[in-house]
Amino acid sequence: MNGSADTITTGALALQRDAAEHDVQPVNARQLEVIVRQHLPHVYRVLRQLGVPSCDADDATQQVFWTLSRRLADVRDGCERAFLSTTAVRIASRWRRTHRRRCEDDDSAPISQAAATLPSPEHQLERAEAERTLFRVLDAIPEKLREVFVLFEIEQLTLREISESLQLPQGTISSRLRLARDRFREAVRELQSSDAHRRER
Amino acid sequence: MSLRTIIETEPLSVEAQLLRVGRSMQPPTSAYRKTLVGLGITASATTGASLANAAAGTGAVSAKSAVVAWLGGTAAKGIAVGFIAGATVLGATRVGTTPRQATHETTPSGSSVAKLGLPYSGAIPASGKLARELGSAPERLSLNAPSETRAVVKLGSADQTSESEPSVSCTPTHTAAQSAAQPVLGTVTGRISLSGKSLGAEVELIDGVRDALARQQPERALDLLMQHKAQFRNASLGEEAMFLRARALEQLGRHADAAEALRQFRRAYPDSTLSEQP
Repeated sequence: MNGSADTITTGALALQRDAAEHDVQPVNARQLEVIVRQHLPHVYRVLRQLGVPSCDADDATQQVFWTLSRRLADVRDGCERAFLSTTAVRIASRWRRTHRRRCEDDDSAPISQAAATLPSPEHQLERAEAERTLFRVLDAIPEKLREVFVLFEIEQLTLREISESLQLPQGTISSRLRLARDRFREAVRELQSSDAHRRER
Repeated sequence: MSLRTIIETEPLSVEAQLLRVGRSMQPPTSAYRKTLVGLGITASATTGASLANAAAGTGAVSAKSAVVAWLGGTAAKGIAVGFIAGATVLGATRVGTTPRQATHETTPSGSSVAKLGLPYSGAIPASGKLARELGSAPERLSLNAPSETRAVVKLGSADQTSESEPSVSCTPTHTAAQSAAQPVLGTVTGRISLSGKSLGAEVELIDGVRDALARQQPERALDLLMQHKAQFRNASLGEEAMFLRARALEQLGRHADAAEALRQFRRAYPDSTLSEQP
């Protein structure tokens, strides 16, 4: 974690330097705040489900919105979600490459916000376990398929939106989605099967 | 069958349940605060320490093993506020030797306070456990630390036994100047919220104040600040509330009151970065 914290600190300082060097003009803070509040859950979920561990998710989320803040003038009204999706996918991809195995013990991470609001410790544990299971299943889906799967099946973007976000033809998105679904179901079956084996023993 | 429809058609299937889990995942409060601070939006909503910590990533609640060192005295103020701003603290460990017994007292106003001496052995118990240890649930947790004591506060301990998310927030009871004058004892008081009045709720309320000010609704901002004062007697965001009150009075055109409020604020928080905000 120390390494991660150092990296995070370095990253934050780099952002500040970047802002100073490029003389980033303050965008409409109010507009940005509204966008953050509206879209942060989406961005956070995409990052987490594309493999960014909980210990780094806050920082990755911050990076996504930082990117938006610098490009806000170029983003058409109503297209913020698509822009954020694209950015989140890219940052998650970069994060996976550079931070892989940084948080190996992520299974012991604090329970998520969704879990923490549940009424009893038992429910919270169940929820946390379910989230870990979901991540294990998603891990079984290759990166490029997983991106489409998460955006379509979990974030419920349309094929067109995904096509625009990932800058891929809709046909490609459809075929990737089909493959991703197969892998998802396969992974679930494997999980159930290994669970059944474990119980038999 | 499309997985999108499986939730409706086969709600008990594993696939459907997993997708539902994915869709209902929510970010922690720290993600909002950290992002907004990183964008410079909440510069007026946090202290210098929390700004620095949040921007540097050290105040992230999701960083499960993030460690904030609390050195007592002057350092205690900044760091305590720093981690409050973005984190729910579920436990703490000490760097010290002799464990001291937790005690339970009732204040003249009737609120119950658990007091733990530092160095304190082991994790600060979450609210449920503390309640069991003391026989009843305290409303506040007070930590007393000699200035030389070093306490290490861990964020996100698994020691969570209460029904709702327990939160510990620490509000310094004295200023840096007072610390210098009293080098022997640094005191930080904290509150474990057992009634659902979590830090998240306080953040929401203060955010409401900021919203109201942004919409040029100073009366509403003052109303919300009154609510904040009534609901959070040991507010984690008292500094911010005090500063926003001055801004609200200014917006109302009550310039003399605003100036006085700002003077009081600067007296109470001489090192605050908030007063530097326009």
